[in-house]
Amino acid sequence: MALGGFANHVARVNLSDRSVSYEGINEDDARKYIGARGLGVKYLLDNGPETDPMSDDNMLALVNGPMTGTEVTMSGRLAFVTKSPLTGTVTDSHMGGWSAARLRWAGFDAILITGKADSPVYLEVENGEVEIKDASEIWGKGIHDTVAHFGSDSGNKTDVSVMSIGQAGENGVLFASFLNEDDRAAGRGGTGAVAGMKNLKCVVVRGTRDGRWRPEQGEARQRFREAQGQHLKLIMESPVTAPSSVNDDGSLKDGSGALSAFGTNVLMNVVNSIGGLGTKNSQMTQTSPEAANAVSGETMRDDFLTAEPTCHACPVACKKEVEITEGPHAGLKMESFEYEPAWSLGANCGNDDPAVIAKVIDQCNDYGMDAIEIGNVLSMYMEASERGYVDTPLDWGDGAGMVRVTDEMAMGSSSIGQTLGQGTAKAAAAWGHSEISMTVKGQAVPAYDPRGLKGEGLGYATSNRGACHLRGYTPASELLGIPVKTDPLDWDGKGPLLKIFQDLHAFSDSLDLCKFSAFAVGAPEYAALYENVVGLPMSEEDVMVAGERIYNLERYFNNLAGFDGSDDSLPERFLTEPATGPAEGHICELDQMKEQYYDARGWDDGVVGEAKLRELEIIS
Amino acid sequence: MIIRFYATLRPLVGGRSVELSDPPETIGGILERLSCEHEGLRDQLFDEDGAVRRFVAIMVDGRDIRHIDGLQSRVSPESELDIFPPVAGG
Repeated sequence: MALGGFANHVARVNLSDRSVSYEGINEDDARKYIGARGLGVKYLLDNGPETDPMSDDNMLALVNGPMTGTEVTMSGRLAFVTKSPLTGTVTDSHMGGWSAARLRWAGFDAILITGKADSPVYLEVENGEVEIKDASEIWGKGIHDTVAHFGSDSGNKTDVSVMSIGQAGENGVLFASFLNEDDRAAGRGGTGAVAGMKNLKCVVVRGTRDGRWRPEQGEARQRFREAQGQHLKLIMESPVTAPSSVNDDGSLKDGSGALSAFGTNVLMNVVNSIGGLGTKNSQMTQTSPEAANAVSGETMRDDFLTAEPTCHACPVACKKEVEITEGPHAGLKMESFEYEPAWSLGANCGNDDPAVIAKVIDQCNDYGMDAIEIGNVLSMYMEASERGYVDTPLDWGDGAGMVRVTDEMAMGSSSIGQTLGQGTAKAAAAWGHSEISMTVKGQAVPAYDPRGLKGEGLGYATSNRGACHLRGYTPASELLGIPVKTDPLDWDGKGPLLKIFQDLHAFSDSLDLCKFSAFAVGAPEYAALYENVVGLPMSEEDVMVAGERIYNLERYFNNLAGFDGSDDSLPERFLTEPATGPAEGHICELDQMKEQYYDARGWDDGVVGEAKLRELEIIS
Repeated sequence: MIIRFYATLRPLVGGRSVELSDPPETIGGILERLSCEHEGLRDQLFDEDGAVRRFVAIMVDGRDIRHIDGLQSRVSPESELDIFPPVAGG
């Protein structure tokens, strides 16, 4: 195969009979579905959309994109694709760091894992080969100890990366995740639960930059450099993504971009200011300015910051390492004090103690759990407690209780922990109170309240992997003004707007480039990069068609798995209980937005029809 | 009137907020006065044509002035103002 960027090398690992076979990339699939997310969903579709997610037959696919591990800026991403045990939909969850690049440097586009081992195993990947090895020494360990066991550390200081589950995945927590290098998560959808079911502990990858894709010398190399140069220039010059740097006194230099300087958690104050921050399990949509600021990116930088690591080929360095210096969690050093968990474990739980948030995030990073879901399951438990639905209550803002219950969930060491470990939706249903479950298709909502940012409400409802902000990031428009500023409190027009975001992100997730690139670049830059890495023609319009094809492929999978428009819903709270704060009185007008959205998609009540499937060449 | 600042704007005003006595009645007037009092702030808020820079978010009682009357948006002494440089994440 002549497609650039790809290693043209895929491993199929059957854990049941402990066999490994190798094959190339299907060129037609690679052309249509680009890589990573898109190609991964195609592998899952071929594996069978009706597969039970927690059966041996479910596939766990680790899939790179053609950009992964190249010199292209923000190309350190890898997709974990599976049928989610949390939602029953297809899901893809991406991780940054260095593992993705290292997997490509080790000679692989994808590792497709099926079956179930009869005892704990791990995969060792090096020089184009995969070996299945005994994991009995590390089974039962947390992710931090597992990473240390193999001698990997954060960043690019070694040639080893470890992508691992923790005890949560081993113990069947349905929102268990994979992490690499201690803190970088493929967090959503329960990919870690699938691995745990398969008795797969981790994937250890050895690879150096010598294995990366490089353009051929001469004119091709020059064209690649021009495309990459323009991509990098826009990222470096964007007021959003410009790298930060400091003066001798530690103050930020002029021109430092806020994402780089403060991380994703720079969103905390602005989302709260407009009344879009779900508070106490979304019973309100705003917390106090003081409470928001106490756990914001600004406070992290001022009071707790110790280091600013980055991912492969990224000058933005949005990751922030912090150290807690006082209280019961003094001495804790951790990474990933991101906006999402800072919200889910902060305002959403009635908690404004950053040390508690740092502690629970670190528990998630060690046990291997989704730090968005955990804040929601805790806040649901807190509301259940307040309303008298449970015998062992947990109060709003009870930090010690949050830490304790997180332990119990991961280890399954109490009845309440076992119930909550099934996720927010199943736990609320078990108590007979699904109305306090802030979930869509079984997955908990992220940090943008659909009454204060209505486009996100539609995004959560129509996401193919359950509630998710990253399928179509309309806050770029509703908060920032990319590509145009839209009113977060206006529903009209959000359907077509969301489709654009969903299709563009489906393409970039398939390259696989960090989504934050979309704050600075767009379809023209993605097209130029694709043409000059893969070597096939790609126009701006082609980018959007390919993204639409991938989004419809996922929807087709879900339709075959039994989902339709009735599943494109939101919790009743967002539809009937008015917002507080600046969005006071607003609900989310989902039905009106869905009508516009389905029109834009050409779907009939959430179902992609045969004509659309043919138009997009998904079926022939 | 208390005006709250965020992220990279805080060092320019020396803290998290600024108190303004006898504030002007429009956002434009308030920003003009703040820009005169705090070196470097004008360049962060306005482009060379005097328009608010793209992606800068100025909130009056939680509403972005781009959805009210822009710099002509009126404020009362009880209004809450929040001013953000370009911020994004995910």
